[in-house]
Amino acid sequence: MARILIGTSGYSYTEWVGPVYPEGTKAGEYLDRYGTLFPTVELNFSYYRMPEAEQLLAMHCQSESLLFSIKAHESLTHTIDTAVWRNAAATFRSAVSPLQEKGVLGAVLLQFPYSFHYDPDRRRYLDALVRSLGNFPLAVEFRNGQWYNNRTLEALRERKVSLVSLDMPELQSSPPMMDVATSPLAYIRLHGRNKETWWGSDSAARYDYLYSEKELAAIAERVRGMAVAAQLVLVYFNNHRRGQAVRNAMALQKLLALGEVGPHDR
Amino acid sequence: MTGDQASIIHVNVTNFAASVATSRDPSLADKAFAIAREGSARRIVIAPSRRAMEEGIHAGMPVATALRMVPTLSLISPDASACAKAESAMFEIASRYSPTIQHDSGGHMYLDVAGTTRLFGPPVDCAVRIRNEIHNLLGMEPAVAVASNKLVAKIGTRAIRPSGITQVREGDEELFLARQDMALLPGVGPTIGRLLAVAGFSDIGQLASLDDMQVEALLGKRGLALRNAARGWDTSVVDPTHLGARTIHKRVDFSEPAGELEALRAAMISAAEDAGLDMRKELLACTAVHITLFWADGATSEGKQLSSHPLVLDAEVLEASWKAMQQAMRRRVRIRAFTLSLQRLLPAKREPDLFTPPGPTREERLQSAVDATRLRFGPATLTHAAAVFRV
Repeated sequence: MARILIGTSGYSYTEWVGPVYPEGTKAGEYLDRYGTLFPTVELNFSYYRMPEAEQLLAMHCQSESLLFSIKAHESLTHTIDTAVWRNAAATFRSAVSPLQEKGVLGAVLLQFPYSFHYDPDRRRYLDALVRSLGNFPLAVEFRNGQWYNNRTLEALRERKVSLVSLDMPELQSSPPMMDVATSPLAYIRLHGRNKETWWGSDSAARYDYLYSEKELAAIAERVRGMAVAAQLVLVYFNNHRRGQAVRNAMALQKLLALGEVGPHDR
Repeated sequence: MTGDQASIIHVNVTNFAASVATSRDPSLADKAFAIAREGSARRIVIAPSRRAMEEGIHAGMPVATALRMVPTLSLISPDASACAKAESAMFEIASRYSPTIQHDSGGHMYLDVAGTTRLFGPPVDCAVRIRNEIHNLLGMEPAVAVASNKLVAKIGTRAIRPSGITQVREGDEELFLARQDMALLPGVGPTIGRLLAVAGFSDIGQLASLDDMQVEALLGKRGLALRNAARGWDTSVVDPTHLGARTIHKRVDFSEPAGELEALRAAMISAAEDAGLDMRKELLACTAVHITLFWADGATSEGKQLSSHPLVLDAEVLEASWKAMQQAMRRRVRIRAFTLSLQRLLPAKREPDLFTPPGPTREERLQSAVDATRLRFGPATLTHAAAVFRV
């Protein structure tokens, strides 16, 4: 049976002061507090701003027990410039490598938008990107349903890259639910099921959702199923609005009877 | 996951016999082995283990070839009793979630869970639990798919196999199928597969996008059925009768009791052709043909032909049917009706072509033309020459 680690997508939300962090907690203390709650975190700031090694190492020092997953910079997934992406990949690689050397890198998340179609050029690009970041454990999330086919799965298995399992609103043409272990790492992202605000709103509204107990029980079964075929299962709640992700993540930990948070959980 | 209407679940334990062997002996989990019968002159691999699959071994491959590829490959005899127990246990698990289960052999099951949401939650949650229970209780990792019909669910499990779970939402069938490999489409066997490959078709969506005229130009009129399958169209229901107990049944009633052998043979050919077409549509074969004659004086007699190998093609079914009919014809009385049943159904071992497309041989061209005509204009429009004597 695999190790199962649960956390949230991001930790640095001012609106979490109160519902999650004690009143008066300063931004610089968020990570310390977070580390007492969960064994892993998915870093999302790295999508908007290219991370730096010193910055990531400082975060590790701040909360040594945390296993970090890190979202790839947008220049590698959303705003790809064929002329310069290799430079961006190299910069990203050197920033993340120290986390891997310290043994605290869970995965690098490559999240591709709906506009990233399943066509030869993009397939070639993905192959090149995976080779460029090949030393890291990689997890790929596709928002375009065309990628969810047997050839993609075979290609990911060959490269030992994880296909991200998604939970999100069931909207026409959104990706199908697909839990398939394509590598020893299983990676699950829970975006909430807010259909009404998914399109045409900001991220705060899009991820404004609280999973019910019934829904969490069903998610727990999915996690158990993934744990059969993987060695490590990383689960991240992205429904961050008002700290709902934290409430759900804690409840899921309880449902799965996962132990207290600490370095031994890595 | 909620809100979907798709309620058909397909459970597929890939390489079932090998999975059963592993579940009984977990030390086999990381070993390359294959299930193969001992003693036969041309041994073939019945089911490879997962590790053997990774080495390129597949079902149907000659054992000699497999051993050349993987000299350390272990060979294990099939254990019919263990497989039957595992089948039964799978059925028991599925029975907790739906009364409507089509339990095909070889680790395949279809469930219709429509109307069970209040009891068990959305179909996909139900499917996850079934998958987990099969693993926890039986030690096997199935591929499971939820879709709006059996065809799409089957392609779903083929897409993700050897294990995992997926859900194709109602309305997203064409999108899901579009980029799947053509070889996953039921009915695309070696012959059609080669033909489509030569035409540059690799994805199911390419076939789905053809209009009627384009399909007919490429595959003949019978290709329409395959094109419709590529679009995810399937109206077949989940049939709770166990596959081994199911039959494909045809009955012929003569307007006047028949006494001439030619007329009887003509009617038998017609019935056998119809039954064979129905069987191949479901990707099945049979190993028994049963004939019952209803005599004009009210008596009945029966004949049965058993086959050691699966019967798939019209010629095979016709030959067995005629032998069974000859067995049953023990009297010199007129016949008012007869029934023909294809029995002991089983999944066709290799993916059979749904029909034989126009090919290089005379027989293939003839078969294709016959099938295309019968599908287009109805089974009665064209049949074997002997059948024209039918009254």
